[in-house]
Order: sequence, then C-alpha cells, then structure tokens
Amino acid sequence: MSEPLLHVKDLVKTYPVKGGAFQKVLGTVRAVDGVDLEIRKGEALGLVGESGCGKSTFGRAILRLEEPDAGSVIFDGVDVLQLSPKELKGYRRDAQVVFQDPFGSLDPRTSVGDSIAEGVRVQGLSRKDRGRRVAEVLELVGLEPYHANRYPHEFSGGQRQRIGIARALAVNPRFLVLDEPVSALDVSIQSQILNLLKQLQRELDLTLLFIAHDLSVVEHLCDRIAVMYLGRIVEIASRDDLFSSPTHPYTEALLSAIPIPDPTVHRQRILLEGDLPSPLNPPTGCTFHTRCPIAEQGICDVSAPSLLSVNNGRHEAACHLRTGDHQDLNRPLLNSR
Amino acid sequence: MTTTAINDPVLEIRGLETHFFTRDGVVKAVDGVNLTVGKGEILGLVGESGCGKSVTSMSVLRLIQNPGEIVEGTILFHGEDLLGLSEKEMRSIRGDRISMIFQQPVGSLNPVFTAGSQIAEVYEIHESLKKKAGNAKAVEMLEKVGIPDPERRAKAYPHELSGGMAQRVMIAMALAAGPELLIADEPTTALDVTIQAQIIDLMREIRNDLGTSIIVITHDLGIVAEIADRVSVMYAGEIVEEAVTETLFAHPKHPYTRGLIGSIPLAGDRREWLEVIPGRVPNLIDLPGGCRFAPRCKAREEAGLKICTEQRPELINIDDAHTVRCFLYQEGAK
Repeated sequence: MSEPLLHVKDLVKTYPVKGGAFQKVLGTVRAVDGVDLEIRKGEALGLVGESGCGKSTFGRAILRLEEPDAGSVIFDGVDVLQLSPKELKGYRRDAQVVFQDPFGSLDPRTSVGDSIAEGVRVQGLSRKDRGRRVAEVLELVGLEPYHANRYPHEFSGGQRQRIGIARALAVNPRFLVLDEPVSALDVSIQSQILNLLKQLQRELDLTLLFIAHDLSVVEHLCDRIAVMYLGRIVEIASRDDLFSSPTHPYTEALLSAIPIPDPTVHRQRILLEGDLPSPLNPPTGCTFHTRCPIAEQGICDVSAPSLLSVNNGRHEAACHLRTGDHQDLNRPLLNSR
Repeated sequence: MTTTAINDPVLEIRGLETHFFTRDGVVKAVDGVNLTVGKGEILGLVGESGCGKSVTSMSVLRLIQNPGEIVEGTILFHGEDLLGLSEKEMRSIRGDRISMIFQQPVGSLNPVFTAGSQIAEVYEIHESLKKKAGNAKAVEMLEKVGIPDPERRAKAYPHELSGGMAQRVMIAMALAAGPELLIADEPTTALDVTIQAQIIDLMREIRNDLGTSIIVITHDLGIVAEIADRVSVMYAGEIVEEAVTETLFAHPKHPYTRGLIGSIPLAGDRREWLEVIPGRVPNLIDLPGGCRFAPRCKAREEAGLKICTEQRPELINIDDAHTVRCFLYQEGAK
C-alpha cells in the first residue's frame, strides 16, 4: 500500500448566508463539515454525491481556491493551509485543477497557447521554453502544437476540455483535482476524455481526485470511491467493495438509481423520499435520517454516526445501524419496501 | 421506405425536413425523418447534441421559429396533418392533446405565478373552468405526480421549488389537459441521480395508468434502456437505426449505435479502455456526401466499402421491426 500524498483532517468550510435589505448574516451553511480523507500516491480517488453535497467545495478548499475555516490539508508532509502566499506558489505547481465547463473556464480573448503558458510564466520560464512546453502538453492531450495560436471559440467542447487538461498539466503537477470533467460533454466525446485521463495518469504517475455525480464514470476511472452527503463522507471503500457490498443506505440508493443501459436488467430501485435537505438547517443526528428507509427514531435522529470500519477492513461507513452500536437493528433495504 | 407496423399510431412523421436558413448557409437540422409512435408507447429518441432530436420535437408542435422552417414532410396526429392546420387550430392541440416538458424545469416555469395557478391556467384555457375549480384540479394533479403536501406546494413560487419538484410541476402541467402525446425533452438531465430515478418511474406510471404515448428525447442511453419500448437513434439530422429497446441494446447494427453503446461506462464494467468514436459530428451546413457517419466509421474501412462516401444509404429492414441506415447490411453493396 502506498503512502498518502494528501492527508485531509477534519476540514470545515462554511459560508455565511446573507439576506434582507442590509445583507445581514442569516446563518451559515456548513458546505464541508469535518471531512477526513487520505489520497494515496498514484491512486485515483472518486468523490461522489448529489449537487449541493459539498464535493466541489471540498475540491476547491484543498487547493486553497477557497479558504477553509478549520482543519488541515497535509500535502507531502506540509500543511497547505499554513503556507504563505509565496509558498503557495510551490503548491500550485504540484496541485492543479480541471473544471467542468470547458466553455467558461478559458478566457475567450486569450490564445490557447497563452492560457496554457500562464502557469509556467508565473514559474519564471523563458518565452522560448514556454513555447516548447505548450507544444509538449498539447501533444500530450492529443492536440497539435499549431493549436496554440488559436482562440477557445474555434474548438469543440471535447477539444476545450483537452485544453483545460493541458493547462493543468503544463506546470507538471503531481496531483490533479478533476471537477466533473466530462459532465458537459457528449457521450461519444466523454469516452475520449476518460481514456485520455486514464492514460495520462499512468504515463505521468498522477494522483487524481475525481469529483463527479455519475457513479458509472467514477467506477470506470477510480481505484477508491468516497460518497459524500451534506458535507460529510458517509462511506469510503475500494471500487470493488463499494459496488459489491455498499454499506451506507445512501450509497445503496445511489447505486440503485444509476440507469443501466441494459433493458434486460430489472432491479429493484430504492426510491429516496423527498429532496436533499437544506444545508442551512441540516437534520439532527445522522443528516440522512430524514430520507433513510431504515432510520430508527431515537437513534438516527439523536447523534451523528462516525465513519467506522466494515468487517475490520479499509472499507468504512458512517451508519448507526450498519457499522455503529446498533448493528443488531440492521434491516436489509430492499425487502423493507 | 420502410415502416414498422405500429398498431394504432398516435403520431406519424413522414419525410420531415426542418432547415434553418442562416447567413452561413442552410442548416439541415432535420433531414428526412420518419417516426411513428403507437398508442401508449414510449419511444426513445437518442442522439448527441446537434443531431436534430429537439428540432424534430419542436417541429411536431410547430414551434420552429425564424430562420427555421419546416420545408418538407407530413406530421400526422391521429391521421390529421398538423402542418396543414391554421395557427388557431394548432393552439388548441398544443398543451391540450400534445404537450411537452423541457430540460430546465425551473426556467420553464413563469417565476411570477405560483405553481398551482400555472397548472390551473391549463384548465381555465382548455376546459373553460373557473379559477376556483381550476385550482382544485391543480392540487389534485400535483398529488397525482407525487408531490407531498400538494395544497402548500400549489401556493409556492417556482424559485421555492427544488429541481425535482419543479420537474414534477412541469409534468403535472403537461398532463393537466389529459394529452394523448407527451414529448419529454431531456426531462432528467438537469436532475440528480436519485431524483432522476423518481421522474423515470413517474413517467412510466403515467403511461401505464393513463395510456399516454410518450416520446423521450435524451442523450443518455441508460435512461432509454430503462424507460423506452422502442428506440430511434438519430445522427446528423437522420434516423440511423430503429428497433425495440431490447433488440437495439442486444444487437445494435449501425456502427454509430455500436460505438455509442461501447463508449459508455456500464455499471460493473471492468473494461480497461472505453470504445471511442473518432472525430466529431459533421457540420450540418456542409454535410459529407454519401453516408453522414462515413468519415468517422471504422466498420466501413474494415469492410472496404466504397459506396459509403458516394451514395446516401436508405433505411433498410433487417429484421422484424429493426431498421438501419447502413450499407453494411445491404446486399451487394461495394
């Protein structure tokens, strides 16, 4: 087992919610609510959850694109949250990000080459070396060096996402956060980008945090998967364990909701009642208990469960009834309907 | 022309051509589409962005606006050609006998009216009900589409609804007048997976309980597999393959369909690499001569077919209710 490249401890990121005529602070949203996570060298870790669960905020917070309120982010032995602005530059060389929207994340008035070179310019590379580096990374992502002189509007969605990846790779990072990198793309283009990411990860020995809402995409690319719900990780396991023996009822529901492109497969769906509760006013106890098909009153609405090991392995889930003190009350999900 | 015999067709589109006359040239968004939807049938219309699937559905409702124009074809609704109707007659069909739901539920609702009053309006217009009776029926409809506490939700404004809830309101509104045909354009794309599953199940229930025919337009093959009875695959303005859902997924014939199915990561899929369709969708102004998929087609090269770049393939029947537009399946093609 390889050692962790990134170790996140008890990370918290809150946002004030303002309203009224004087923009008074009405409350705080705990977008990331005490997350512990290890990302090992060379692995691809998937972070999944529905919109508003805090997965993107988590990705931004560990890169310090947002300043977390509390916790620590240890990257290769150094706490990133304690870095001075100058030291942060070094971290920016090691850790890069690719965003979802390939249309919004490129400056329309800057040539593709200049966009890609910006990172290495900050690092102090000469003009000539920059040009060489741009050509290198363009070829790496399956584009041509002459594309450097063109502007974003001249490219299709898939090509723009390649440019976004090239820009992230230009500074030769070791760690890449991919925030829904294929959700905005067409099906036939998605597979091109997924294959490219897999190939790059191997060639460049990259460590990936892959943030997505689409479980089958994550399953294809990732070694381990963490499931997030309302700012917390509710389950984390190797890909195989998560798909073969999901333990948290939310994970089970998510898995059963993936549309399967095979009409001969008929499975029982676990339908969750209602919508994601407002993170401004999260439910007490286990935040999932309001939608959980097996929640027990007096247990699940009282205290928040912590992540505990399933069968003493590295598979962990946070559920009173599945891994906690009340495992005796555990009931299977599907038969309960 | 080959047509699959569908009992009791509600909608029959024949040779539809919808073109957009832009400054750069004529965009042939829909170029000779035939589609049939039977009573109580769910037809999946799949394809990638720009293939013409949404323009097809907008043509059915005659909502194509300048510079677009339906230049050719017939759209028979219960045997009556919608393209021959006056605008007034068309209005009595839209929202009454054929209705539509869209991808962005929140954006498709009017922000200054409550959800209930927007549904009630359908009753006021199409059934000439008074406001009070309309509101009562709106609440009833909200309950039917599975909205908890429908009285309270009826008084909510669109911004107070979550995405899944807003889509249910859209569906309630679309169903209010009891349409015979519902067109759902990417109905779940903007929703989360767990909510998406709820909406898919709701649409299936609607068909089972009310016998409504549904066209589901989507780019997501998973959704089609779950909900559709029959699937039409569209590429660059044409239907390239059509079959019963089980057949299409078990025996896809067209190289594009095969590529699409191979390119999606499946649940439980442990393939090292996903299949890739090289290149991209052709420019609809400057379409390749011959088969429109030919420039991206690996199967054509393997088979060494010349005809693909020379002639436009016709839809051919290869099996009962399975048609494909490809020379690979045409005897004697070279």
